[in-house]
Order: sequence, then structure tokens, then C-alpha cells
Amino acid sequence: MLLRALTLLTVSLLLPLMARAELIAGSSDPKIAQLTPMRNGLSAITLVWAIPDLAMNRVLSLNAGLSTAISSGTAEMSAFEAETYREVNGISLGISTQPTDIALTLTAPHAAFPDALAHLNALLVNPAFSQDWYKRQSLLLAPVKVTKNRRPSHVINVLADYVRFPVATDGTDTSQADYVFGLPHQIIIRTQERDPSPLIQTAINGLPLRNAPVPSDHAPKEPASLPKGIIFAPDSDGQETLIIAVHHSLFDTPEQQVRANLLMDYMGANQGSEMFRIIRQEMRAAYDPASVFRQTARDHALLALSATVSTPEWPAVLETIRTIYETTRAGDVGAQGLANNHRRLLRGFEYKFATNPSWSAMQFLFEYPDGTTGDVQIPLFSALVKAKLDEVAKQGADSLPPFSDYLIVLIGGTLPPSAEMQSDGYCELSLSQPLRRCLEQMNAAQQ
Amino acid sequence: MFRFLVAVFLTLLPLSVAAQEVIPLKNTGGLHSAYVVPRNDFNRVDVQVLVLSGSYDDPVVSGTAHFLEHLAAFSADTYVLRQPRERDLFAKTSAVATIYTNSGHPAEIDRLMKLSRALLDTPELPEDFLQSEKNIVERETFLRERQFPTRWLRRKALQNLYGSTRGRANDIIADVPKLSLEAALDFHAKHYVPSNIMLIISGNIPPELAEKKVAEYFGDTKASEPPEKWWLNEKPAPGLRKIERLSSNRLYDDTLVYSKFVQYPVEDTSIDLQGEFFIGVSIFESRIREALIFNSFNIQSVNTSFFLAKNGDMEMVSFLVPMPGVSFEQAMEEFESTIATLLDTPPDAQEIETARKRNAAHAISAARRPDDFLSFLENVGSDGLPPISPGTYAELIESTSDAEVLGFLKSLIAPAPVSAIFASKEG
Repeated sequence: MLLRALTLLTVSLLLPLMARAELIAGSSDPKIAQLTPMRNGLSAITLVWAIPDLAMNRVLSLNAGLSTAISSGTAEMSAFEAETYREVNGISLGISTQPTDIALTLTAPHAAFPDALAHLNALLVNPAFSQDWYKRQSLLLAPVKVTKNRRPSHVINVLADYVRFPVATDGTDTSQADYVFGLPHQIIIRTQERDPSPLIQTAINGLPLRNAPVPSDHAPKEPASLPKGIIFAPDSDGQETLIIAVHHSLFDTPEQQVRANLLMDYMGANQGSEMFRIIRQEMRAAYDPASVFRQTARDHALLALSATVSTPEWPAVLETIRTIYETTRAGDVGAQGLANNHRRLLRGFEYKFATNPSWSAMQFLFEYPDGTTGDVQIPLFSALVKAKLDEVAKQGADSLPPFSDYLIVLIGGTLPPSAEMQSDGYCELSLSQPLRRCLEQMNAAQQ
Repeated sequence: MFRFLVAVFLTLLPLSVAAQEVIPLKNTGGLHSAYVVPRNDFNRVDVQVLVLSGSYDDPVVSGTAHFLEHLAAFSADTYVLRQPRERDLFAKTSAVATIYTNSGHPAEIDRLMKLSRALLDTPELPEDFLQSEKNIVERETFLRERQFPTRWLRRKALQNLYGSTRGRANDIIADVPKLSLEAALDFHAKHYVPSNIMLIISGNIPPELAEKKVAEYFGDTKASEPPEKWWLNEKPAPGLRKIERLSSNRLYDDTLVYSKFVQYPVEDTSIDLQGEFFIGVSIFESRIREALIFNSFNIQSVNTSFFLAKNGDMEMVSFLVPMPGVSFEQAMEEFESTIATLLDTPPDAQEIETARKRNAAHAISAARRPDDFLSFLENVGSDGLPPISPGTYAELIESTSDAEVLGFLKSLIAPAPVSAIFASKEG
């Protein structure tokens, strides 16, 4: 009740100041979750707002808007002074987007945390919103053209955006957008304090509420899928071709998801992997053969295998990737290698949970999109701890889709896929076009 | 229950962040030097081998040191482990050093020391593997070239700055096809000698045990003449001001590269400059950012890197992305005029103290993460100077006077040889 009373009082004070700005806020008291303290000397808080419009252009605009809001300074500090204050006190701010939320995470050393929360509050209640800064942030956060630098991580990022936010634009001109960020709908805190209420109060004091809940626009009716087939972006400048095979998978259970993650890691997550052993050390064909398991929602992930090779070799290397994948999927998996990957993945989860509040908040939000007042349990973590490795190998076909369901992306060089390969779906992409153009075109043709 | 599960997860993780003393070791045979940096907040030990030669030391063909890094790492791994690899190799070739890191549980110290010691032996692998590793280096070189345009933009700027394609500049793309196994093994014989190698052992290990292990595994090595750093004598032409224009479809944005060469007088080595270097650079970057990012909106982003050689030579390379509609000339004029007037209002004691705090916060942050902690140790150590830990860094920063910082900044903004690239994006 105390939170609500303070909040409503502030709403009446703030509303006249933000006549032109879009208010991003919840319409009731935020749900609060306290996770165990981090073990790196830092405390953290994550404020989570629902994204009001899930069209990609609006998500990008909101991202740039939040970045602008937290860069604008406070009533007592200029933007530059505020940045300096954060630097000298070891305070950092980070923004991430989830399938339906945008999250702002602040981390600070334990001793500086209370002051850091007061600073965060001062940033959010300050109504100044620089259009110059927003313009710059919009440029910095614009989607990359993956044909330029051809980093597999860039391709994955673009695909993750596509499956989460399949509507490219709602036609709104966002070049002059203006935002005010009010009370979030969820707060996740990591602190050593047993009672974090005073800290949370410091962070959200005076933030306005929305009068009524507003459903998100342009939410996909069902999880977006990637098309099958091949996308080819030819480039005569250079003799390198990036091969990336990718699938957006939906899992029935956390156990199935963990099995898929472990098998993908077995294939290409490190230097002990099959892709490294065969494609790099035996074929001598690529420096960077690798697999990726990128969670995009609670029970969704992008599965990818990639390598950058000399252009004439891409058909042979793609065939090798296919063989490694199907062999692994059929259960031909070395026990020691799988055990190594299970240990690595477990340690990776432990480390990220203990040191990365943004990642931990993402996992919490996947499981509790509307918050919880009970005990927190993440079934994915339990499934990883309890994974039975012999079952992982045996159930490969149940955990991974057939390779024929994968989308193949080829960027660079001038050797096109054969007519036979093109028959399952094909799109040629010029270097100046975004990858999304081909995704939309192929998906439309296949529906 | 979540809390219980988390408690299980955290048993191996760091408990706190503490200062770290850098202790020189004795009985190190012919090694250049060896140090131990004890810390028990990570339950691991890292053994870093710093070969004090890197890409600047390449012979005629650029990339030789990097090619050898691949061979030496795989050779040591194969020689010691003799089984399918369960770990990733961590090796890198920087400008002035080639660094190998072997990490593990404290109980694995002997294995880590064997892997480190094996790097001094001539690489032994099947002949076809040695030869074909050139293909992998070629793939890696082209990959990096494509993925990180700053690499080739920087290379072009330094080629123009030094008027050379060797030493502090290089010509890696043209040279990759010329890599040879013979040249790599010659490089090993010349540079992978004890007197050119620094060892840093850090983590959960008592100093006396570290000393014992260094003596056990390196005590038999003999001192010899370290290779000459010939490139330290190559300087840009006085008064140089060269601008090159180019365009590429590999760029996301129009990019201005601005490189500058500054000479600082040193009595012996640049170790005496480290404190004012770190504080001065912090003030420089902060003032540039205030002027170009906070008080003006003609620049989208500005990022600057600094390399201070052990003889006091410093390279500054800045990457600026102008906002749409802002020309390269306009961006460069704004950047240069900002630098020229940077000290019109000299930094007062409070601003210098703020820079000290900013550096201290950075050091504390680095100490929290194992990889950043190791990078910290490598930074100054790569020049053959005693490594600085985040803990000792705080002392260094505190002991640097305001006058020393001001002197450093005055030299940094003074006219000096410059080369710039105006790189336009295509498509």
C-alpha cells in the first residue's frame, strides 16, 4: 500500500510534464522478486516494462528511447556528470529486450548500491529527453547488415529479432519519438539485504503508473518459425563464404531442451567438439567452426552450426556439417566428450547466474512473465543438473530436428547453391539488403 | 527449491575481491623474469607464458609470429596431454608479445607447468599438420579482416604513419600466402629463448609453491641474448600529415581513422610513465567525450586506443563515426580543434582525482572477472616490465603527482606526426 500511495501522488505531479511523451509503465504495483545475492561483490536491480508495440521498428525505437532516458542526466547532474558519477563508482546500466519486455539492469558494488538506486531514480524521474541523443542512439542500435562483416553472432542476433518480433514495421514514424519511463511491471533484485523494500522504494519513488493496462500491439499469434531452404548473398570481393545452418526449435519439456543444448555443444561449442576436430583439424577448412544454442524464449531456441571457408569448399564443408549433425542426432556420441560438455554447460550456468544479473533476470522472466509471490524454481536449471547423459545420446532424434528442416545462409563468394539445393526454397540477397527481406519472402512462399 | 539449487551452484565461485601483490620469484633459471600473484578468491591457478615478441617483431613476412603461436600451442598440448583434448587452448599474438595461458584447478599445477615449459621446445607435430596449419592461419586472417574492419583501417593508418609495411605497421593480407614453416621455426629459435620469456603464475597458490614449481620446471634453462627490438628505432617522418581516402562495402558507417605518434622522454623504460599514462589518457578521453558526444552531436561515436612502447613511443589511434550529413573534413576539424584546445582550461586537482577514481573503479571491476584479471597482468608485462595487478595498480595511481599528469597531457596534445583515413561505406 505504501508503494501505491506514493506512486499515485507522484503521478499527479508528473503528468503535466509529459504531455507529448509516451508513458511506458505498468498499471499496478510491480511484482517483486528477490534472487540470491551475486558472488562477485556486486548488487543489481532489473526493472522490467512491457513493450507496448512489438513491431520491430517500435521495439528499436523504445530501446533507443530507454537508452536516451538514462543518458539524459538528472535535475542535479548534467548528462556528462551523471556518466562520470557512474564511472567512478563502478555503476553500470544495461538494456535488454525479451520477447514481450524491455529490461534495464543496474549493477553496483554493494556499498554503492543504495546511492546508485537513488541515481537511477533521479534519471528516470527527470523528464528531459534529448532528441539529438535519441537520434544518435537510434543509429547506434539500428540492425546490422549481416552481409557486411559476416559474423555468425550478427546473423543469430538478426534471426533472434525476426522470430521474436516478426512484424518489421507498423508504419509509424519513430524519428521524433519521446518517452517517459514510469513504474515497471516487474522488479528483480540481487542484494545482500534481507529486506530489500527500502532499496526498491528508493529506485521507484515518484515513478508514474499508467491508468489502465494496455495490451501489446503486433504480438505474434504463434511462435515465428524460420523458413526452410537457402539464402545466398553473393559477393565477388573476397573468396570467403560464411555457412550458417539454423533452426528455430520449440521444446516440449526442459529436459528435451537441455538434451538439445548438450548435443549442439557436443557438435561445435569448443575445441574438443566434433566440428573442430573434423572441419578444422582434419579437413583444415575453417578456423571458426562452431555451434550455437541461443534461447529466445522459455521453450524456444535458435540452433545453429557455422563455419567460414574458402568459397570453393563450401559445398563439401556444408555436407560435412550435415554428416556431423545427423550422426550426432542418431546417437553416435562419445561419452567423454558429452560429459565434458555437460560439465562446461553446468559451470557456465553457475557462473552466469552468480555474476550476470541480466541473464538471470531473463531466465526468471521466461519462467515467470507475470511475476510470482511463491518460491522461485527454474525447471531448466534442474533439468541441467539432473541430465542423464546416456539418455541424451539415445534421444538425439527426439531432441533435434532433422537437418533438412534447417535454413542455410551463405554469405560471400560467387559459387551459388546447385539447382537441386535451391528447390526447397531459395532467396538471393544483395549485399545492401537486410536478411529479413529474404526471411519474409521465403516464409510467405512456404505458407 | 531455487535458493537451495543456487547455493549448490555457487560453491566454486569467488567470494570476494581482494588486492593482489605481485611477487618476483627467484631460482628461475635463464628466464627473463617470473612472478606470482596470489589470490584465493578464485579456486584456480593460471600460468601465463609471455614470449616478449609479437607481431611487431615479425621478420620480413607479416604473420610469422602468429603462425608460430598456432604451432607452439598445438605442439605443447599434444606433447603433454597425448589424448583427445578436453580443454580449449588460450593463446594470442599481440603487438609486442605472444601469450599462452594454461588454467586449471590448483591440484593441476604440474600439468600446467609442463604445458608451459613445452612451449620452449621446437614445435613437433606431423609435417603435414605443420604445413597445413598455414591454411588455418590464412582462414583466420581473412576472417578477422572481414569481421573487424578496424583491423585493416588501423593497418592502413599505421602504414602511412610509419611509411613502412614492417614493424609497427604490417602487410598481413599480402604476406599470408608467403608464410613458411621454416621462417616460423627460425622465429622460435630466435625469440622463444628463456631470456625473452616472462612467467606469471596467479591464483590460489602459495608463493613458496610457485617458486618451487618454477625452479623445478624452468630452473635448468640458461640465459642468452634476447632478440633486438629493431622496430623501436623506426619513427614517422617529422611533421608528417597524410590523409588517404578509400571506400569499401565492408563498412557499416563512414569512418574517420586518426593516428598520431608521440614521443615521451624516458630515463630507462616507460615504467616511470605508467601512472601519468593511465590517468592522463583517462582525462583525455573524458574531455574528448564531453566535447564530441555530450556537447556536440556531429559525431556518432569515438573510440581511441593507445599503445605506449617501453622506450616511451606512443601511438594513438582514434576511430570516429560522423553523424549523417557531417563530412570527414568537418569531423576531423572538430576533433583536432578539440584536441588543440583541450588544456585551455587545465584540469584541476578535482578532475585529476576523478580520473584516479575512474581508474581505480576499472581496476576493481577487472579483478572481479578471471579473464579481465589476466589481461590486466599481461598489459604492462608484455613490454618486459614488472606486471601490474589491479591491486598494485591502485598504489601506482595514487603515487602519481598532478604535475606528472599535466606534463603527460601537454605532450599528448602537442603537434606530432599524423596519418588519417577517410573511409566511406559502400552499399
